[in-house]
Amino acid sequence: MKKIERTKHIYSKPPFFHKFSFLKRFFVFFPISGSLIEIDKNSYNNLNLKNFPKNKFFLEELKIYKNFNPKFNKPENLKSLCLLVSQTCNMNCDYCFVDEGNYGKENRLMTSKVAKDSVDFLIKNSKNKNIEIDFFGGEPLLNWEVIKETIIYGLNESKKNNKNLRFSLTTNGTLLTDDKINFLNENKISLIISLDGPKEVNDKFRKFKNGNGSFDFIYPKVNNLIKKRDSGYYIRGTFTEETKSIFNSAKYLFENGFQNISLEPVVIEEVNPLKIKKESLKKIKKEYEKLGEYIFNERKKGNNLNFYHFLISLDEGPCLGKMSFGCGAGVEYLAVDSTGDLYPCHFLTEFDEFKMGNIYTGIDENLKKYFMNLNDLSKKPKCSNCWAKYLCGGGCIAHSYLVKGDPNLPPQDFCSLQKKRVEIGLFLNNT
Amino acid sequence: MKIKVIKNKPFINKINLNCRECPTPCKSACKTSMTVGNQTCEKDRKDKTYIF
Repeated sequence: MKKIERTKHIYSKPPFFHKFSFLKRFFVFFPISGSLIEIDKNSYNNLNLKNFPKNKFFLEELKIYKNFNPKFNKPENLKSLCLLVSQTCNMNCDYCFVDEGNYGKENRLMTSKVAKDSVDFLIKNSKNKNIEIDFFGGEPLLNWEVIKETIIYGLNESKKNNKNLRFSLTTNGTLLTDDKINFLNENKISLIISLDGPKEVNDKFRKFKNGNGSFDFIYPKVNNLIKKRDSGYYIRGTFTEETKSIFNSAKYLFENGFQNISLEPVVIEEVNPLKIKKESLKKIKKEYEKLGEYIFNERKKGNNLNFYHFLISLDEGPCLGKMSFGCGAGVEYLAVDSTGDLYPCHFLTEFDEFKMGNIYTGIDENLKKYFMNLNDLSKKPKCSNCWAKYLCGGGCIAHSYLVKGDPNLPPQDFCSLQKKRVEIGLFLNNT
Repeated sequence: MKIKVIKNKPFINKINLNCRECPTPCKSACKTSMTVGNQTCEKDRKDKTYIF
């Protein structure tokens, strides 16, 4: 493996509290206890880390903060695989990170044998009861028969081994038919469907190989899908420097009946003109605020709209062990390519230096240790003092590697957007 | 200072749970790992059919 230098870290706690305001209301969040309080505007303006009230509430929180020294086991257990069942695609989106789905390699489809052996590999290598497999591509529906066989096989094998195996499928939606939708619904397969927003936004970059936009072809199929299920799906869009009006895109999707939306900034090289520019961050944060206000008002009318990055529940959230660990890539989560080779995640599959074994020969333990460290938030230098770190996870390792050349350094523009999303999420789902 | 407590130390009772049965963030995050906090604890979602 290519040696990748990591920055030395200095671990410290997040700040005692973080204050933020939204829709003319004023809040204080305590990152370690998870407490959230609302205060008056005047107190908010005067509140800072050196000047806070010494009342019962703040003193209790301070005691928790000072005594915070948790012990938890670092995760080292595989619980999820991403199967690249189709390393080819029927589309040619301008911002695709895997070169028309083939990851810079030859077009390939996974065989039924490799897919089933991957199921066995996951069951054998996971101590968890709850395990997951995602079908990914390229466009995975190009290999539909293998997907079907793998689901049937996986459900049988997991039952025999007392596991709860759940599947998901990430698709561009072009090949969805009634038969496929019925099978996916009957087997409770979670779906992630790519759609960037209204036609003029979607078709700017999401194109077929002949250059034609895909909206008119995809939209009726996806609409048909959500008529047949009310949960277990996300419409997952990408926004770029040229399509960054995310409020309009999300509102369009919500207004057209999609309840679960995720819009994500494009992950692409710094030099690419589609990469979000630093000077655009302010506008995007305003877009998030407009979207947060819209969802807040819609929920008051009884419309339960979900924007993925605002979904932060303090009561139902994970434990500190989970929150102190990142995305899980290379440890809890691995990608399997069509030959059975293992990579830390779907994104890093194009980098040979990250190949970490094979389902037939096992996991490269050295690389696994390397990724355990990368996932450990206490070792992320840019995260050590961040108030949002336990709700963020330190960002996408692959994104950091692509943008900064160091998988341990979250891009600062990402951090800025992430903090805004967390604040709105804290407001929307907890107040 | 007027304080309205909205959530009172919700992390504390789960601080040492660490069962690791929850979904992997990236996996269930529409292929984005950017928020760990939105993952629901598996202890509270045993009957959930779908991953998300």
